Amino acid sequence: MAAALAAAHGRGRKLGAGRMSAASPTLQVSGLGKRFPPRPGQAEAPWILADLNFSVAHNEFLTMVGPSGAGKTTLLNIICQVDAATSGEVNFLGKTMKAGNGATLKPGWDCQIGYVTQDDNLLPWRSLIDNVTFPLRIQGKLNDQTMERVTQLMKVVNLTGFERYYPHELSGGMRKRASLIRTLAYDPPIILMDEPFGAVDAQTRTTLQMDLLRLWNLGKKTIIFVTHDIGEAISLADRVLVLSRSPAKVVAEHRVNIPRPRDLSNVYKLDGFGDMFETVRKELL
Amino acid sequence: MTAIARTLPATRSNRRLLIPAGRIALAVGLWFLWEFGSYSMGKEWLPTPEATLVRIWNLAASGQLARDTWVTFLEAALGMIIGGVGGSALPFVLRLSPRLMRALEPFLSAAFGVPKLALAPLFILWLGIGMPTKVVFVASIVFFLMFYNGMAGVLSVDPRLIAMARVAGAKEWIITREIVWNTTMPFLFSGLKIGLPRALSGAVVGEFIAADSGLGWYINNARSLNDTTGVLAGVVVVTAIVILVNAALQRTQARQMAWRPVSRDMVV
Repeated sequence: MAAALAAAHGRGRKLGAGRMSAASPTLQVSGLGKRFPPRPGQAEAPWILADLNFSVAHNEFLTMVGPSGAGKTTLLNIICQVDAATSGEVNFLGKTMKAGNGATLKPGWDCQIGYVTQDDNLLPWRSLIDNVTFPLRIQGKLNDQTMERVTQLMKVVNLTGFERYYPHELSGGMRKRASLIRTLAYDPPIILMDEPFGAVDAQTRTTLQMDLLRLWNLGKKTIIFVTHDIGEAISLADRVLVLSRSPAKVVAEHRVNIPRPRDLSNVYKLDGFGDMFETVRKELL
Repeated sequence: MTAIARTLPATRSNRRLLIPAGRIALAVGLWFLWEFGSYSMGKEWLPTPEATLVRIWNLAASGQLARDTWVTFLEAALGMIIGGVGGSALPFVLRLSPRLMRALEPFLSAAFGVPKLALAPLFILWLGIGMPTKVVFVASIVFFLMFYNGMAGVLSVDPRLIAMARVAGAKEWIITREIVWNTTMPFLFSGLKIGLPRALSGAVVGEFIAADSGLGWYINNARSLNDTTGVLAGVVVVTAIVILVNAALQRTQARQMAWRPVSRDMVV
């Protein structure tokens, strides 16, 4: 499997090209706030996000852990410009998205930010393979080379043989994996993930997490991964941000120094995992 | 146990035959009901099925059946195309401008409410008694059926799919073609399912009012001559066309929408 991954990621990228220093953020979120229009009879809608500040370094694996309803999905929607911010701004690769009414949004920052959403959002009228290649096809990048990459990714997540199936004929976990590699296939420099493994069983989840770490390690990619699972947040991350209840604020930041590669099937025995788990758990209370 | 096992396959194949057998039984039953009605009411009031079929045979032999059917079919088809394309396309245009949608809404509802049959005299005044009158009449009926079905489809598009496609780099026309079109297609098919028979009966009714050929003209002409056999023959032919068109539609639909989990559309 590792060989397949290496093949999938070897092209066009220098392996082990070395991480840029954490001092040069790829993406910076400053003073971000969000509230939705008030409901009828409501004078002012509550803030979902308020004065949120953080940044992500090049090739960093950042996880954000917070209670349900903390506004995690809203935050990711704003970062990839699906939704507009009410205040503050997001800076990414020299470009700025300011707060506004959403008229000038550019979802995905011109295919620079990929987004693995909570729901798989596969097109029900397209077969599995057509769904996975959908971004490549509309970006005009579907060729022998990218198709080879897709085939490898399909193999890595055990979807080979199901290419011609429609989404409704597949299990929830399979659809989830398909939506994951749909984003990986077109290789955007930053990928946002919104509880991507929330709906799969514990064993599959561990396998997928290890696959993800391997893909990340070989491909050198920036990932912002949102979850409510403390263990998942710690075991995957370079850095964990702990979010408060709504309105979401960063209440704590932890650098995870567990050496890589990590054996996620035994994550609870890894050095320092237990202490950090306990700390984060208390911070979330 | 073995006895049950042996009877099982036979039972299953019997079940498969049950539906066609039932259909044939029902058809024979209806035929006898028609016969019975004809004998109890008198042949002048309700001609027998045999007499009706003989009339259709004679009409076919003389070439009049082909001519009249062609006229009616052409009117219905042209009206269907003009009204159907317009009515299906408008929802896609309105999706791009919610403001235009809201501005047009009351006018479309009002236009939908206008009884088209009441406008027929005006159509005749403007367009004469030829084919254009019937085409416009059919189109005015079909347009709204397709528009309201299409609109329901366009409004049911999943915004999460659109957001996904935008993030992946889809431009507006790709979203329209890939997501809005595929979501709306089942709705357009149910529009067609109602619209196609309506188009044919619209053409026939149009011919009642003013025409010099077509099945509606034939039925109306027979009626004015107290030729009940002719009326029934015309009605049977129209019904047969509707059945054929429906079967063709059903085949297309099954092919186009193989991706759907189950066929949620009625079989009839």
